[in-house]
Amino acid sequence: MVKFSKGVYMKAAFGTVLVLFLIIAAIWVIDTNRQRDVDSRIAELSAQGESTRLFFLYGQYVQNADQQKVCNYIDFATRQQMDKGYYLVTQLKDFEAANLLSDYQTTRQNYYLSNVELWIYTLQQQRRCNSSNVVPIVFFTNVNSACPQCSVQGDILDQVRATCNNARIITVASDTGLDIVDLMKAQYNVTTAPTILIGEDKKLEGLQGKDKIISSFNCQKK
Amino acid sequence: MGTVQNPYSKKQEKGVLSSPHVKLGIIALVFIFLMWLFYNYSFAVYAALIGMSVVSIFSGLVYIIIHKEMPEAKPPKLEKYPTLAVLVPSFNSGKTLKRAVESIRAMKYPIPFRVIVMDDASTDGSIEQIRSVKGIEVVTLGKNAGKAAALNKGIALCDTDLVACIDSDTYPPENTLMEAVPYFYAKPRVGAVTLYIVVANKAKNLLTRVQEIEYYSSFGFVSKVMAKINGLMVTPGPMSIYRRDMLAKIGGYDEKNITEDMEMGLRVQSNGYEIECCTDVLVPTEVPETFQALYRQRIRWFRGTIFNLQKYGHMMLNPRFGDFGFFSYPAVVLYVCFTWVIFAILFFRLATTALSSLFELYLSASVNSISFAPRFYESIYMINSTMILFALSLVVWAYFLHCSVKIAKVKLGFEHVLPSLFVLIVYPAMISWFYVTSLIKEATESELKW
Repeated sequence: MVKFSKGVYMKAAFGTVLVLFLIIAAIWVIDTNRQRDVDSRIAELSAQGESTRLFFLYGQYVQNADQQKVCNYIDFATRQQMDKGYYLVTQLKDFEAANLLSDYQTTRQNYYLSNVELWIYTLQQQRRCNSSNVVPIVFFTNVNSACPQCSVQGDILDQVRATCNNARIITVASDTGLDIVDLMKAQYNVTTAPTILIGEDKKLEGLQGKDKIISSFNCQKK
Repeated sequence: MGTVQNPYSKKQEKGVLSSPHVKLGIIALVFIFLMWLFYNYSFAVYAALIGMSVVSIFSGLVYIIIHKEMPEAKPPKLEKYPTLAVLVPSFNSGKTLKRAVESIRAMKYPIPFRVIVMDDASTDGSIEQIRSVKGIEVVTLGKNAGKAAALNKGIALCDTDLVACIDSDTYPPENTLMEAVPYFYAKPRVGAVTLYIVVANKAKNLLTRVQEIEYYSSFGFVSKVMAKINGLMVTPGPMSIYRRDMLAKIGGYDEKNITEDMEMGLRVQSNGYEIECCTDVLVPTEVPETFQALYRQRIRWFRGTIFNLQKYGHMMLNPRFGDFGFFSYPAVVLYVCFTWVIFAILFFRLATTALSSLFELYLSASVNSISFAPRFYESIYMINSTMILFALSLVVWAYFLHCSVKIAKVKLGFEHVLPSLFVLIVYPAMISWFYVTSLIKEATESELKW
């Protein structure tokens, strides 16, 4: 009589389902916590943006406001927002790579929107505070399709940021279909990635070397 | 074992993989899989991970449940022992033969037993070394014919109830036969009894230490558990004992097979006999001491595995073979297939990472801004499903090793920490590589080497 241990396999099948369920539950807990962490950091960025906006309103509506002091605050706030955003971009990339169950679309969208917000504040800062020492550099990159040039350009812009004190590099995902980004692309006629927009009038299309970027604006070396 | 036999010159029987249509099919499947990886990498990885997890968790649980719930076959106390002969095939095994023969001769058994050394036309004068050992018969084969042929010749010379086949680099302890032979009477249709094979030259270097750990986990707990459901598919070459009438009935060793011990195990099973496992005694054997020798041995084993799994494909999910057909056989087939898939994924990942890093380096250089930051390391520290599964398999493997070591009644010391880590982390990649190489060699019909 050939032996077939049906009971053993039934138990093992039940155990397998249970173990898989526990593993998925563990992954879900890890993924959710990680996403919560990123979301809270993005919320911090937005709060920082809100604070910058209030400084602008303060300078605009409060009578006899010390404009220089307000501008100093704005400079500090935008710099902080940019620093936090820079840290977040690496974290976001790592978390997304390790993620299995969470959906990062909204999280990513919020991050890119906060970057656009930062760019607008930087432009406003330039105008209101007449601060020529701040140079907003918008880096249009692709995130939904393969773009090795974009990834190299990102590394090169990191070097630019490390070299020039006054460079405010703002990454904008050009292929996410966000209305505000499409508006920017139409405004500055951005058709390809990577594209770098220095200030509002200088546009560099395609992969650019560090020296060329630095020579395109008045870089204040650290 | 690696030094025992001659380069194998005969072609083995044609397997399914030898067909040009199957070869084309395999190439097409590999191509489709790589394209799939390219377009939807994450999905391919998750599918492979989940598939592998289901198989490994399920089989791990089956082992544990059998271990905990099924009683062991208790060998009876024998009043009358069966007659027995020991066959030792030997080819140029001058370094080990004398020690092996002395160990074999020193084995205790209530009735006299023959020891026949089958010299497969050695050229190193090894046979002269054993002339002084008393009670040894030497049969010299006219020309070099291979291990299986030598054993078949020996079997034909025996008229005993049992035949023990022992490699010329294996040193069975005194009590081996006394412990193992009663297992033939533990169940009604036991045709073969295997033993707990361990590494003799374990202290030689890291590679032999690694194999020591590997042998404990392969021949200890897993073999004992599989024997409970008659799930063993290999009668290990270093030492196995067979019923002679069964060997005569099923036709002896397949002389055209490069892993004759696996082929024999499968044939024993396919003829409705059972394979028992005696883990009460540890039988030391020599293992390869260099990477090159290990590579050759494993390529031979794995090519033989691929070939034999096809040859006995009719046993897969066949109710006639009970647990063997429904668990043992499919588990090995799935293990081999997932090894290929995981290797393909890892290879794809490493290759694409290396290529994209090189391309990015070239792009950076083209604008005179060299910035080389390999992206491979970016998320290596992140906890993800792979790491959870790895941790789980680590626990299960550690438990199996613990049980195997307990059965062997040995203690693992500090010197086993590094080899254990090696077995866990480096070995799977190495084994996958060997399996893929074996598949390619088998598909391209490259020459078989012993």
